[in-house]
Amino acid sequence: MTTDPYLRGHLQSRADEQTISVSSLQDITTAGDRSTRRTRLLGGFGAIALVMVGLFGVVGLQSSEKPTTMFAGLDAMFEGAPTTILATDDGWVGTVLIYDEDAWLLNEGGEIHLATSDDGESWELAERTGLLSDAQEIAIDEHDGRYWLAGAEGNEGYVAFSDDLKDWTRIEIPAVTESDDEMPDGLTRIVSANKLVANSAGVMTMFTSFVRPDFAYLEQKLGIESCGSVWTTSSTGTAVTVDLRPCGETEWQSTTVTGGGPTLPRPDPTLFFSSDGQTFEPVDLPTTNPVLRRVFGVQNLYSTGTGFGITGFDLHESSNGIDWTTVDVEQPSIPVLATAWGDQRLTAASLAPGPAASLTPGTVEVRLSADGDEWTTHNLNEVLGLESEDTNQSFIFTALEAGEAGWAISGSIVDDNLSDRMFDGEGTEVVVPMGDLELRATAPAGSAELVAEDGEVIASWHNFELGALDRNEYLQFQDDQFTLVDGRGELVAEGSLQPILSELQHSSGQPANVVLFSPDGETWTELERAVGYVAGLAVGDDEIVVARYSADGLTSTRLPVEAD
Amino acid sequence: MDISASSSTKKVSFSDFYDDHHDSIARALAVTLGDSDLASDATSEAMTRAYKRWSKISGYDKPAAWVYRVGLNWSLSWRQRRRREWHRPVTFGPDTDRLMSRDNSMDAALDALSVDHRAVVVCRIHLDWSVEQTAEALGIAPGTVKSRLARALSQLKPAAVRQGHRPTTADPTTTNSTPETIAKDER
Repeated sequence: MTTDPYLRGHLQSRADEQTISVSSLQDITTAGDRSTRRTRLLGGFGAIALVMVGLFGVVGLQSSEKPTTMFAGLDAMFEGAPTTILATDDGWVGTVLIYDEDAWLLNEGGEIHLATSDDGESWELAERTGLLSDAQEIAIDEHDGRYWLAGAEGNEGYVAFSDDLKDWTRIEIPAVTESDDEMPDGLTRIVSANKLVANSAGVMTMFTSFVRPDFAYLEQKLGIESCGSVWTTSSTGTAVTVDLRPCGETEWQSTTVTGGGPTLPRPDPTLFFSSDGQTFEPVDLPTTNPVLRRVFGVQNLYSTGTGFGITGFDLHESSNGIDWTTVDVEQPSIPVLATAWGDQRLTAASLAPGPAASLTPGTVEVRLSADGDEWTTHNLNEVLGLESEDTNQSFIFTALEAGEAGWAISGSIVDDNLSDRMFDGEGTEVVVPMGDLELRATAPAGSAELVAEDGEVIASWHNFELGALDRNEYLQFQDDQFTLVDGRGELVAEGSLQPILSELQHSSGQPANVVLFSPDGETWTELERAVGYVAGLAVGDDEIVVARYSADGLTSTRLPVEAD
Repeated sequence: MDISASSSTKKVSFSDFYDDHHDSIARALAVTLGDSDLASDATSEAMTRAYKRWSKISGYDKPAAWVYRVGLNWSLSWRQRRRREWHRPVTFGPDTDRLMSRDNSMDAALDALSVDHRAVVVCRIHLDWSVEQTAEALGIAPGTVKSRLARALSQLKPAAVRQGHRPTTADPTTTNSTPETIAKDER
């Protein structure tokens, strides 16, 4: 006998003696189905969360269901595409956030890596930056051969620059947000770096502090450890519901956090500017209407080439980063996004439909100007296939970018409650008996109705998604079970949601996320309508690069276009 | 071990994969980690992750290696986190009572190995994976597999000798031969 057979036998004996208790196949698939759904929702609701945060200051949906490859080595952890993409003379550069192996909770963040690509589709990780970020948003720009990054750790922001993508110099940005001491128990603030613009006038960066659940506090409150399995199931303007799953278990526990006041604290956008690239000072925002400013904040920061522009409650531009002038876009709606290329400026706006809209429901338009004075309006409803008079649908802009080839827009088609709309005809009709009632729904995320035998609609939902369904006093969900009670509290029906879950898992319907392109800002075409929230968008010389969330993680696509 | 028998080209259903491999992976992790409870949890977690991405994982040359790797990394990260929480100390290690009735010297030698070295021994010797497969499973270079295995075996040999077993003349650190092949070659 040799050492190896002996050792092998010894190892086998030792393995056989172990008392193993692995979760059952059913438990694993149930947990996998649930978390897969939750992960997908992050992308699907990204646009909604963005809008809701921007408009109403509610807590955005977040998931700690990190990529399954997060522990599997650096190369494996890189999902294939960056989240922020920048067109350069040599190709493409993007930012990638890679979580540390010990980042069990969202607030432990990850390290920023840069990825480069020659074709916009195949990416390679550059050297480590050593820069950490707690937020997924990372801003990047390049000017005169120098790369600039903006990131955030906790409630502090920073800017870093490098001339070679290897060695980075970090500059702290103090007082990005208010003190955490002002936050009620169970909530905390996290800062994200939304945008950075570097040009001949200097460097300007935009940070926003968001309110989100304090998962560590909630773990302590509930007396559990979640191993990072946390999920914000719903949020309103006054409270947020959080689910946490104890380590190694499949059951979720819910808790609700309130803001301690009439509303949850709102997002708090701030700008910082440096004329020398060394010292950053807060920017005094042009304040025309404090109420509008409070509600809409700063939506976007863009470069005018020799200065800066911001959108939000209005459009303002500055040539020195200090003094601002209002640009009258002659647009009846608030310009959500704007950007500039050469002498031209383009603004984008859409009106959320519904009775609150004072103008034409469902109007989606851009305005183009060569001088910032005269503007032409270009309606996008037709190219998007949206009826201007349809009060049930609209378009949420998520990105507006410009480059040599022209202009590009990404966004999501939404219904009247700002839920992602499905591809026509791709939803799956699901009918599930619930006692004497029937749940008729369009899976995975269409509308749903709870209908009585006589056809009376007992309850309805715009967006049928188990994680997003209203948890009201009548209909409750617990794991894979539902219970329905009447107004007297008596049980009407109870049963398994497994048929619904099964349909959800196999349905092909997905939200519609669209990319539009125009070589001149006037004539627009739909480049792509695909599954997956657009995470990154960049315009090159004769192509558009789009990074999307998909079932396989982040993927990027190069879309050839013809410049004007 | 049936793990090594998995097809490298034919995709199998997740349920078949689970049935075939969950127990053996959990036991391999238990030997590697010296903690059957942690190994069970890690296997459950890794299997869940595999299920979520099965369309991709099933195309891998050896999905079991991916699950083993994710489970091992999950466990090590878990331990690191727990160790930082000084107020909740957790002791990890083999069940000494159970080990008392067995070959203590070899167990002691195995326990004396680092997890990294023990993982190489488990993958290479216990699971019969090749150098390349072991390297892929552990996320290390093939050369590292060889060097770690050589170091591990050198530490284990005294225990084997004390048990009356001669060291092999074939060097498993430099060949992809399975232990069965090594033994046959020696004959």
